[in-house]
Amino acid sequence: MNFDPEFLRACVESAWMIVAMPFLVGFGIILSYLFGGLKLGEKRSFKTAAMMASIIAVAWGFFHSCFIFEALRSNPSYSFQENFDFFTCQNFKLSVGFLVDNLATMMLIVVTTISLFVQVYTHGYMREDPGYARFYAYLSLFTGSMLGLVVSTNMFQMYAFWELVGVCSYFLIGFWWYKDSAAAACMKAFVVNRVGDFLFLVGVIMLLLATKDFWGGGTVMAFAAQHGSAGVDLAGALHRALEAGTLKPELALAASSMPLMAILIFGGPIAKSAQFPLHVWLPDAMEGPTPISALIHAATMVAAGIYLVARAYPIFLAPNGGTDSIALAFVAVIGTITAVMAATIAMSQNDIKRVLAWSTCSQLGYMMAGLGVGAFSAGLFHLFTHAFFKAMLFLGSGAVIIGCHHEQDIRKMGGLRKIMPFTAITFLIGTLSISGFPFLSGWFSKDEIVAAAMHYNPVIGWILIATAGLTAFYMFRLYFTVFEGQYRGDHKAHEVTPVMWLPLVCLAVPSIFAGGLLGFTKEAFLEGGKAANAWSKFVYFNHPHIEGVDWTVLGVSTVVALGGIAFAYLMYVVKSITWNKSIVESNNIIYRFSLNKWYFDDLYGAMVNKGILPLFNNTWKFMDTVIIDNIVNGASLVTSASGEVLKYTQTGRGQYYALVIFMWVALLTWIIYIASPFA
Amino acid sequence: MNTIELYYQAVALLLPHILVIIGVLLTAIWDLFFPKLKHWTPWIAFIALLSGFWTLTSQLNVTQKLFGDLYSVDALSVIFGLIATGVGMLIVLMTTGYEHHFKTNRGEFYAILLTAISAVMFLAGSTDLIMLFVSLETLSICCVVLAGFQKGDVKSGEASLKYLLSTAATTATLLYALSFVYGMTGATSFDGIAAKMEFSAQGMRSQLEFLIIALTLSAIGFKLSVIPFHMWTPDVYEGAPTPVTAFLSIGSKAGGFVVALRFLIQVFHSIYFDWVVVLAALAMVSMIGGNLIALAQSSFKRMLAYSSIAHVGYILIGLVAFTAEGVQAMVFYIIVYGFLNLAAFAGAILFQNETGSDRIDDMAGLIRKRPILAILMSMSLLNLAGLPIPPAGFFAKLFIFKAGLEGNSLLADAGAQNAMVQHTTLTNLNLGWWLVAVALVTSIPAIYYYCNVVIKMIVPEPSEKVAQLPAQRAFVGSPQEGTWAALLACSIAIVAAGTFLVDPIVGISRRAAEAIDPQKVRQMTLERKRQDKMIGNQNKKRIISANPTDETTIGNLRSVNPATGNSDTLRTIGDAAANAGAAKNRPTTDASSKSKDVQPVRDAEFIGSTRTSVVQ
Repeated sequence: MNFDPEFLRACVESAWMIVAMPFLVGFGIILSYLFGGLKLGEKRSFKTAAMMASIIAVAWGFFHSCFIFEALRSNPSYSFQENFDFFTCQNFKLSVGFLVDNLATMMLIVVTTISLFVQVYTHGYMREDPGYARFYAYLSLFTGSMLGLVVSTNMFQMYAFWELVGVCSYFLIGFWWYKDSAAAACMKAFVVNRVGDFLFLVGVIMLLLATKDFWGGGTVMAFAAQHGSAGVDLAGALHRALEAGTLKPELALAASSMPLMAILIFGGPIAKSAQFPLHVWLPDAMEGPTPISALIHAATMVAAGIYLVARAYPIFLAPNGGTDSIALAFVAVIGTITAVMAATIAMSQNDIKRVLAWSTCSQLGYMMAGLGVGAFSAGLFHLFTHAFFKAMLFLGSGAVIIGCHHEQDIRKMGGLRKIMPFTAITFLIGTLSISGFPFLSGWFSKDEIVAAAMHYNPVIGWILIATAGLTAFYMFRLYFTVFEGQYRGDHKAHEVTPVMWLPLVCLAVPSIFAGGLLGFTKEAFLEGGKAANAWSKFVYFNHPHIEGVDWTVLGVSTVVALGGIAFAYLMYVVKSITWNKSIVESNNIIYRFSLNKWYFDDLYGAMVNKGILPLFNNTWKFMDTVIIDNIVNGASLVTSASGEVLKYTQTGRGQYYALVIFMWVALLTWIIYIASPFA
Repeated sequence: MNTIELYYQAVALLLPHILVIIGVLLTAIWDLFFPKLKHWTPWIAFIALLSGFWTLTSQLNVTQKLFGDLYSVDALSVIFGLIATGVGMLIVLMTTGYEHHFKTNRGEFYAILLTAISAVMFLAGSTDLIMLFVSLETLSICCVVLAGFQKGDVKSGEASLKYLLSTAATTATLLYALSFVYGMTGATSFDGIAAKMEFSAQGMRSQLEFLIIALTLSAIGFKLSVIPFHMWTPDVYEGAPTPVTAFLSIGSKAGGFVVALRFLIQVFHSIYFDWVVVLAALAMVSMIGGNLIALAQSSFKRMLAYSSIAHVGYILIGLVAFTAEGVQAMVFYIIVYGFLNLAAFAGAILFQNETGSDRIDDMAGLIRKRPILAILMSMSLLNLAGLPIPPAGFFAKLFIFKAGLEGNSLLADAGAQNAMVQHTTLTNLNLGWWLVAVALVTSIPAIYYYCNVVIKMIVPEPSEKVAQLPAQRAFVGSPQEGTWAALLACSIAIVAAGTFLVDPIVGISRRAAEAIDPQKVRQMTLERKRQDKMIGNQNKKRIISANPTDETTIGNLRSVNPATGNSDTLRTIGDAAANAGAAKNRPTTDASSKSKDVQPVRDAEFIGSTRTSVVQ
């Protein structure tokens, strides 16, 4: 297809509409509530209008994003950026704007696609819910915030939208606020994210202070477009600040403070992308409605952390621009720990959504590790493919939950393949893809990460390969337990309506083909890496990274993954291996460690209950009862005492007032005479 | 330009004042001629003020002296005129909801209020002792009448009488000060006095100067209700009708501030070191005393009265800093504080009208019955405490503290460079730092007593008086609509001043600061003096000697005179260059241009040589 270049250019230059439309719809629904009262939410016409408006807004965004993609694909060196003043005070200026480049376009497509399918699916999932219209309002607000984050032109704007997606996540996790568990979960998510966001904020402020003189009147803390737009960007400003640091120590952005800055900024992604050790909120966030888990806690918001690291990559790089920096090593290690930790926990969970949550956590660890080891394109490639198959898995789990009458325990499922064929087949595709079954999406993207990690550090590489085996095992444990064998539930299960399984089928397509289409080329695979694959040509940092496929790593990890699948098959279908039962029965430390999620919740609980709260409580008691009370009492004593004295002056008799004035004039004259240095 | 043209020009520039005075006349006689249209009176006053405000906005770029230096139109006078008319409009709106307390003669209230506002406008532009005194007296007498306007109310009468006595006393001190100034300098225009003061500062110090400073500060301190000249404040604030209290707390104070700026900067800049320490001490005492006494008040109006004393202390930090940034921060603070305070008073009027009480305890649980009133009042109170919700009050405090910390380098430099100054320890302390430290510490009780009211309004169960309130009625059409409008306007202004209007307000404040930039004023006087002196030198040279070294020595010796610090050094350099130029018989203009070249060079050698000569 050939499009008019002018039309494509206009599409790119009006990219702000993609962000604005969901926002308008979201605020529109909320304002209608404000004027129409809460009763409005029960009206059928209002529900339909809210649903249609939300879906149209995001569908517009989807097609608009596709045109933008076409514009950038057909014109490889094109990118667009526009900034508006948001806040000016003297010579300090903060801007908001929108930046359209390859990286942003990739993310726009992910967000709009997933959001579109999730919103269609929501119509089926939330049909009976009294908060139907409110849910669409939140969905639209979230979509708008996430898209705003994606097109951010600078760190300040990124931070603002970062907080917006955080608060939308809070609303949506606590959507069923009358459930105690949901209320607690949304609070937990918010508080844990605050910890990370605080570090992020400190990092941003440090960055601002360190580079404040080097933006040359341009946008402060600006991100560069992928193709290096003219003007000032993070990398340029950092570079100049570093140079000035070597010249003038008092301006120092010493090279040594850069990793600290990067690690502080990384605090945000640690919380938002559920990385070790701030991952604890993500499994609990599954208290929210399932469409939310698919949209926010699998595909988009949790990927914002990955996106931020990618956008702010210059900060994470070493001063010389290489990938051998401390900050990136930190990212890689955190990612690897998260990947393996979450995988071990996922093996023993029995809640269908929590298994998927832990698997999300683990896969996000893969992406972080990918970025950390310098495989920029591969990390984002995995983000892209994972978004589709994980959203599909979550929507599938939602279908299972509806089909089993709001049952989430996998021990009460089984044999659903015959009852829910569409759900089962799409779930199987997702499971195969995430497990790294050859030629499915996950296989391409994951193995690129593993190969790069092996190249970077064999320990990280082997851990990631082992994790791939674990992933295959627990995902197939989930699949076999839910869809094979005999149905163990109490109520009769049923297949869901087409409005719910159609999005699954649609999402299955990219889950199968996205990896091969973008990741496979003859040059890369068969001819030893003569040219980069389509993905790496589109999304890259500085220049496309060309690396041939490492057949050994690919082979080993594929074998390990297939081994995991086979193991799960023998254990849960054929039941010739019964280790699972013996481990559960023996209740040994490894099992308990996994079941109790490495005791992180208990650790944090103990820290808060035994450490922080008593500390605050005691400090408060000391400050309040000992210090403040005494100051207040003392002050009141002094005040009343001086009042006793002063009341003889403040007699209320006017002539005394005049007398006091004259007296002070005389006194002041004397004081000036004493105090004056020239008397 | 002939006299007629000058006259027309003056009339054109005084159009805002004339419009307000037309308003005075109209409101005074309106009731007489149209008794049936009595309720129009406030709107006539409002329109007069609005037209005054509107015409003032077009004068922002004018710098013009009228009537032979008697009155000047510059950014400072225009901006304070804008503040006065803006405050006036809000107070007129507020009064429409309060005037039933006045019973009869409501029209006169507006006439007198407008007179007071026009007095503030004239005060803002006064650059002559006579003009200053006349406008200040007009303002004071109007305030006396306004304070006692609630006829039949004993407290109101008492307030009026006390204000009258106190103002009479300070009028006496001011008049003394002014007559001493005139006696010393023989001039009544500010510039003339400043030039003469500069001369006297060079020579022997007159003990009279200390007396003048004390007398002047007492008059200014009275208008600003600075401790220890504050004794009238609580009685008058509590007794006067609430709109009048609002006017006294911001309108009349704006007048006080403009007098302080004009007088202390434009006239007394050469004896800066004499008054700054005392002013700083007064500011400190006001911050501490105002905040501590406000802590113990149970009446909302009295609390606002004492807290206004503390706010004056904060604002004076900008004057002590003695920099353009300081003045800028002051003007910003005054504008923002005006909105905040007026919002609080408008809330107080609304509450008082419905419950007949202004006790803080009676405000408990207001949010249950009057949610919008409670929220808007909370916003203004939190901003008065300096909390960034939204950050208008926070920015005001931030700017003034920043100016306080960065200003005052003059004094520090003088302490560092001038041997004569060094022996007194007081001047070696950076006053700004002390003031900001005190301001920060005293902000804590301020946060406590402001938040106390906010918490009272929101958290507890409604008090008896609040519980008896009927359900919320519509604002439009009720007798309270004017007051509501004032409250809403102030609240919108607060939100705007904390967000998208920060930069414009800072810009306007900067205009005012540029009109009276302390350093620039000082430089200008020095320049004029240098030129005068140079002519003198040239004459002297012709008569006595043509030895350039002699001239340089004279230039250096003059710096023995310790009155000024840093800029004095610059002046010495300039003098030396000018004298050298004069010695070589260069034309005057050439010499002055050369001195401009030399000025920025703060060469250690020059300072060193100056220092040596001091030691000699």
